[in-house]
Amino acid sequence: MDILAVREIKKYFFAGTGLWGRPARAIKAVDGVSLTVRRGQTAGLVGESGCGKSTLGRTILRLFAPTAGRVLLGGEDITDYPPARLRPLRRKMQMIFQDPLAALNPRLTALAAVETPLRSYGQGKEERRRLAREMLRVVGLNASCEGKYPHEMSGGQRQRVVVARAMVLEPQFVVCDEPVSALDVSVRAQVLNLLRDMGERLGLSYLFISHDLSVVYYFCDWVYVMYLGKIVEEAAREEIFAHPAHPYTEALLSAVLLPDPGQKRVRIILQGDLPDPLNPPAGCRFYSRCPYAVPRCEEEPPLRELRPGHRAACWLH
Amino acid sequence: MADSSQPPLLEARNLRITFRRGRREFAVVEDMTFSLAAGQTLCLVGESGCGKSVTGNAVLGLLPQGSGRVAGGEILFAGRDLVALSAGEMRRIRAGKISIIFQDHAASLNPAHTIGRQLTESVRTREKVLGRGVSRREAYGESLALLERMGVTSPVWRMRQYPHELSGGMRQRILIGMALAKKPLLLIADEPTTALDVTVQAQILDLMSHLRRAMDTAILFITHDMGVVAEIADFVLVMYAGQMVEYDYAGGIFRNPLHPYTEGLLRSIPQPGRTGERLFAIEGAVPDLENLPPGCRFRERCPYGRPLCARMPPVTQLETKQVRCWRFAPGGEKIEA
Amino acid sequence: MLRFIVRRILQAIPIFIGITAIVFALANLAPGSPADVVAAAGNLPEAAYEELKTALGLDKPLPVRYALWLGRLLHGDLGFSSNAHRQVWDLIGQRIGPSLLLAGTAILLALTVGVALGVMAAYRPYSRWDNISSALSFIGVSTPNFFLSLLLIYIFAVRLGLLPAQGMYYTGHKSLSGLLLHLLMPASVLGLQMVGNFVKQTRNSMLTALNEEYIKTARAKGLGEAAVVLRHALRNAWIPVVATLGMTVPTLVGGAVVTEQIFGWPGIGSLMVHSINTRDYNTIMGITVLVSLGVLAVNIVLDAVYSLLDPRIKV
Repeated sequence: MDILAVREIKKYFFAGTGLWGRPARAIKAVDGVSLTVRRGQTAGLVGESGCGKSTLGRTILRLFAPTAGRVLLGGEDITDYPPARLRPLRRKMQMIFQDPLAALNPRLTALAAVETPLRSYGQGKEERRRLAREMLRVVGLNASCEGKYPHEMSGGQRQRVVVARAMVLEPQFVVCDEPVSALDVSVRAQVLNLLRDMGERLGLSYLFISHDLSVVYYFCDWVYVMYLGKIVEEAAREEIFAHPAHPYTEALLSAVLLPDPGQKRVRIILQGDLPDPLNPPAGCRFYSRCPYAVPRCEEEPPLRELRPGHRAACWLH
Repeated sequence: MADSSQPPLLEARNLRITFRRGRREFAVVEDMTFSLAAGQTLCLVGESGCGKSVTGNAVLGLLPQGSGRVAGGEILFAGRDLVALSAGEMRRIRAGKISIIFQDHAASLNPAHTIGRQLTESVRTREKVLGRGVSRREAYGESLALLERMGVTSPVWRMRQYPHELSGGMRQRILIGMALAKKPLLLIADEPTTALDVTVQAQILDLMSHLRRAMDTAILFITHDMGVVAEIADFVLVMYAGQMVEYDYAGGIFRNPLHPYTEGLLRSIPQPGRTGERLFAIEGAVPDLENLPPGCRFRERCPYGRPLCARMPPVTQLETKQVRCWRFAPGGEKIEA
Repeated sequence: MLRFIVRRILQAIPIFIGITAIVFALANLAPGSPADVVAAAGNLPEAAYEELKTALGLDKPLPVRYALWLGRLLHGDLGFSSNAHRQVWDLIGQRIGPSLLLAGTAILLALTVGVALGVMAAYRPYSRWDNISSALSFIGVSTPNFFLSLLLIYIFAVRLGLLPAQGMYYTGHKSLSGLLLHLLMPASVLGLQMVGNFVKQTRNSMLTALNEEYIKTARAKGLGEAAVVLRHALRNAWIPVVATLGMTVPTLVGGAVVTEQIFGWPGIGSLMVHSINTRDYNTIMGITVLVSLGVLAVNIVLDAVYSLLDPRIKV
């Protein structure tokens, strides 16, 4: 059973204005993405900045209205729900952001931050307080932290508060958008372990957005690789790391730097940068940087199944 | 320390750097001693606030004006103490001897000037400070050649562009070009790849190692990423809460980490291939530099903590390695007993 | 860029019509009319009074009068001054030069002093310079300009006899030195009123700019402090100051009315005061047209200048 199913979703932003204020050009941030997250599992969404992964995460949670496509949460099509109907569902789907300092209200203490989301769902004041306290303990913050404001806490503590705030509603599905990228190395492992423990405890499903393949490898059961608004490859974790099919996945994997100076591998160094999303190249979007490009790549390759469960969009396969 | 076959180009001795907040002054870097020879790369590794960037900035006298200062020790560059230099002498060092690149490529370039103007400014300043003249045309030609060497595509066009019109990787190449315009003996690179995407990081690291081989520039590389360290370091100095905790050849740090912080840091990095198992995590958080506990600064997070750690551990030399931990201090056991 | 300017001009048209409509209504709704002013001057028979009203078009309802006025404006006709018995165009043409000279000098003075003080204050925040400049801008913003004018006249004209208190030239001969001496006090009064805004804005944006990473890059290049501050920081700090300039123009117009009146400066401001007193509708409206067009034009030009100063702003 899938907790989340996204079908051919698109999110366009419109940039620039003509003489009478009509949008001139569209940025296709997400351009026809389908993905599923199985109940109790974690799907990873990997890509570099500007590939549309954060936009996709926000569109799935209906923080942005999709331009086209469907979003199904627990089998229920929520794409066209008006805000009032979406509101009770928000409890089931939560988001954890990259920068905890920006995600927390600077004028709320840790306890208040965790208590606030409960207000919308009808518990009494005492009950809310009790639940919030309990959740702070679960994420490993002791009583001395309850009264602290975000600026008085360390980065790791702040991200624990953000996690507690999301988890206190007992969601079924959580989108984590680069949850450890802004954290110091020694704290990253703490937060990753915490997220994993919370997942097991609450039977959660995650969509885990990251640019860091080693973190995705540790955390995810299934991996989607995104490039310029499209999924270029998807497979189970072991499969994609052992047999990457798309040249972009391959390059991403080879760019992971291991903390072991002896392990020098052949590195694929991509030329150039991510193309301008306003003018994506025609045909395969990776064409301009691909080391294996052939003339056929001027035609857009479809996402095809190579092996059961392993799909890639590349003419090489 | 480790290598004494070459005379050091840069040497810090008992460096102490303080910041002021209100009327209080507190040390952000203490008792730092290290050296770097020509053509070598030393990585300063640690978490945010450990003092690694401050150390790099202090070399060029770029501490925040009014609040930061070198309160003790020396920074010797080719034998001269940089801390004691006059403003004019420091300008000469900055213009032609030591370069620095910062992490935030978007903020490090002036948004109001073209790339060409900023590049030629570096070339012209170098020549001016060295007492030579250079025409605009010569400076332009040299800048263009630099862009080409940095692997910047269509350099003539780039010279006329503004920073916001370029990608992150392009901007970082230009900053490296600007730094190398001075033909420096020493390059300080303060997290130069942290703000870049992984594939672009690979490009930049590749470029830097090429340039290093070609120019024989010494690099003081500041980073928090052990993966990057493994890629480029000859020597590694691990910092924690303003102090050196371990200092060794790169190989010695990765294969035989002795300080519990180094060990924890390396074990807590997720690596493809190691799955299932729970990640090792260093519990707790970095102590507040304004309210440091006495004794070993890692004590509260250390799995090997013992009563002796309430006293500041000395730096112990073990073959190629220096480590600040009582477990390896001669007589550590005895004192405790 | 051209598209942007065209769009801004199109957007300015309804604003302009709104301004003139409001001023037209306010002027006409004020008690008294040009006919009353004439009537008050001598004994005017009832019939002649009515005839005068018809002749001046005052018998028609207000919206009709506004429409007629607007129609004439489209033909470039500002009408006839009921007071001076001359074309409004001529009246304004005679006065515009001195007003622009005074306003221009005042802005230049305020901008130079304000930016210089702001830069020094930001370079050494909380220093003595900073305190002096914030005191000066506080005094400038908070002192009413009529009071300041009178104070200056008392000190420099009455007590010290250094500067002339009235007019634009010494009677009898027109000389540049005479003009400059006459200009000094009114321009200083007008300028001092604005200088505070410029100091504050420059100080704030310079403080921001000086903390930017590119300033560190500039220092690391080995540049001297003057180049770092002027070429790198001030270049970026300018941009919000230009915005302040656009918002200052209306204040300037208001200040000019009072200052010109006190110093007997033969400009638009004193013409305005006189026309209001005599209910000279056409002249009032003529000046309104001029000032509002001026303010709108300055703001469009400044927006365009913005994009020249900051390459990140695309218009």
